[in-house]
Amino acid sequence: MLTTRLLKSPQLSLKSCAIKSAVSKLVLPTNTEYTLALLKPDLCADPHAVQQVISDIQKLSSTQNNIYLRKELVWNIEQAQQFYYQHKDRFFYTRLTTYMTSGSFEALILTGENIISQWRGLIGTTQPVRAKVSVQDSLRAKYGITDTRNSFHGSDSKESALKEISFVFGNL
Amino acid sequence: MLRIRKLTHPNKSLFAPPFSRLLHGWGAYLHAFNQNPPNAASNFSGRLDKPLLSPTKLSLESFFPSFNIQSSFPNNVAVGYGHSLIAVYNSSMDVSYVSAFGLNRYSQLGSKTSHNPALTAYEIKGCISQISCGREHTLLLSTTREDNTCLLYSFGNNSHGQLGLLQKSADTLKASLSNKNLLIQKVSAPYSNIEQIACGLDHSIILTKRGELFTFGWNADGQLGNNTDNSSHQPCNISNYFDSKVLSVSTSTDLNFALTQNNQLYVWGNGEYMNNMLQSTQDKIVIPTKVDFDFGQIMSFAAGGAHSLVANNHGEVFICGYGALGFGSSEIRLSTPTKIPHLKDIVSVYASTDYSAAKDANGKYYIWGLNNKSGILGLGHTNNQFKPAPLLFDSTVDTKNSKLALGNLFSFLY
Repeated sequence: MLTTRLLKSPQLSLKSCAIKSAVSKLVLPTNTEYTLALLKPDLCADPHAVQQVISDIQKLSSTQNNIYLRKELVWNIEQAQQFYYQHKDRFFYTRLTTYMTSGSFEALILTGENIISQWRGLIGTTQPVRAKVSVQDSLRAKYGITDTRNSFHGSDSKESALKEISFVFGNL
Repeated sequence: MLRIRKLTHPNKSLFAPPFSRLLHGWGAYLHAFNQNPPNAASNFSGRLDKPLLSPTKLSLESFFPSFNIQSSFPNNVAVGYGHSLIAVYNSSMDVSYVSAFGLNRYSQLGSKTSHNPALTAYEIKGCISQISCGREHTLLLSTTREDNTCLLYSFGNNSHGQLGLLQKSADTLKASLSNKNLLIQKVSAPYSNIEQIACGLDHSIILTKRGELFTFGWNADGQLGNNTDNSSHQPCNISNYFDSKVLSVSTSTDLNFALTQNNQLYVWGNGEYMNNMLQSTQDKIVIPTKVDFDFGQIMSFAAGGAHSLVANNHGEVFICGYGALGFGSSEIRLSTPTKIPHLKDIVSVYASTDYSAAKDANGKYYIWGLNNKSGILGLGHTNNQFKPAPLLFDSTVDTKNSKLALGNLFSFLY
């Protein structure tokens, strides 16, 4: 119910929503950290690249069971604007949100100790071209195309992770 | 000898057989076409499996498994982010055989396939004079000999209108752009109308013989140059921004250049990395803007992602932007166009998102830029190349009349 309302009112920020009820349907693990990973449309254009990234994700944990949920999705512009609402005053807001409607992509809930920083560390610097110049061993250096088509998203905090997961998986 | 160069005598050059048969490739996914040893062309394994790190002679036949192309030659080749089209022309039947290979999520190959990446081949009536590939879309121009009908095809991802079509269908196939859609009145007149087609990653440009410039597709960085940042499936006529007739355009990513009859270079689109030759820090330039720099007579120019380059009538190459620009690893940022030392007698320059190439008067190629795990620079390694290095081909190959088709995952010489 809650997520339906969210999608229809883009002016409503994620922050202002009570997320508990939406998340409770999901039953997120309580004994470990979790984060939202997006494999953006540019990466999902190449299934081999997705496959390789999934195996890189699994290497983050010794048990390889760190992918809690995985789903393919397509966003319309309102959904993209809603998700990136916190960036609405930044110069890249239009290109980021329109770009996210350019094709199907994947959302994953990753779990594990320090998974938020582990995943952000693995994807690396926001700008692939900078990552490439400095020979970063990051996923964006390997797969990113441009600053906007930078292949990955990772929640920046526990609070963001909860909000973003609720937004993407809430109506499961 | 006559490949498709400048179409000054289109009827002659377009339909005449080319001089030599040549197809080399390097990068990801191409090992299945390696002529020696021959491979099963149906098995395209992972992106990082067995990349061809150096230019390798490819078997043209293996790109056309179901066609007899015995006496044919690749007369047009284009590569985008991760897909490519190769066209050969059968003059006795006035038909082109098109082999499309690579990523195909949204049917950018021009045909639906069950695998991705995939190889597919089909026929198109007439001679294919131009092809251009973006990230997930393709433009293709064909001209029939008997009635001189000129048809522009577009296929692939149309999410931002980059196919120039009204429908936002994700996999429109071979939808021909009608006169009405294109806003070009005489598209059926024999290639007197379309001079050049060019795809950025997610937008498209069409230049007519009369010098009119139309743009459509993604516009969030001002790629369409129409003074907005709203994407458009309707071709936008931006001809009025130029001081005289536009002769040619260049784009590969989100940055665009056009050269006019007055030897005036214009730029628009993404400008975040001082890649626009304007010394401007604007992150997007939404109208074509004059580049005030004295290059001399401009002979060739190329727009990359975070960089751009120009070659003049003295064979000198100027570059600006960010990345591996040709000056070593300590000079990765140049806001002013700067001459690259040691490059001489250059007749044409090329750019992809992350790298550059140049060809000299003897047909020798140089390449430099940011590399990737597929060895996209073709230099036998996967490291960045901060200074121009020779791109080496088998000594028996005469590259003088050849061209490059550069992509992000793989590239061709033909």
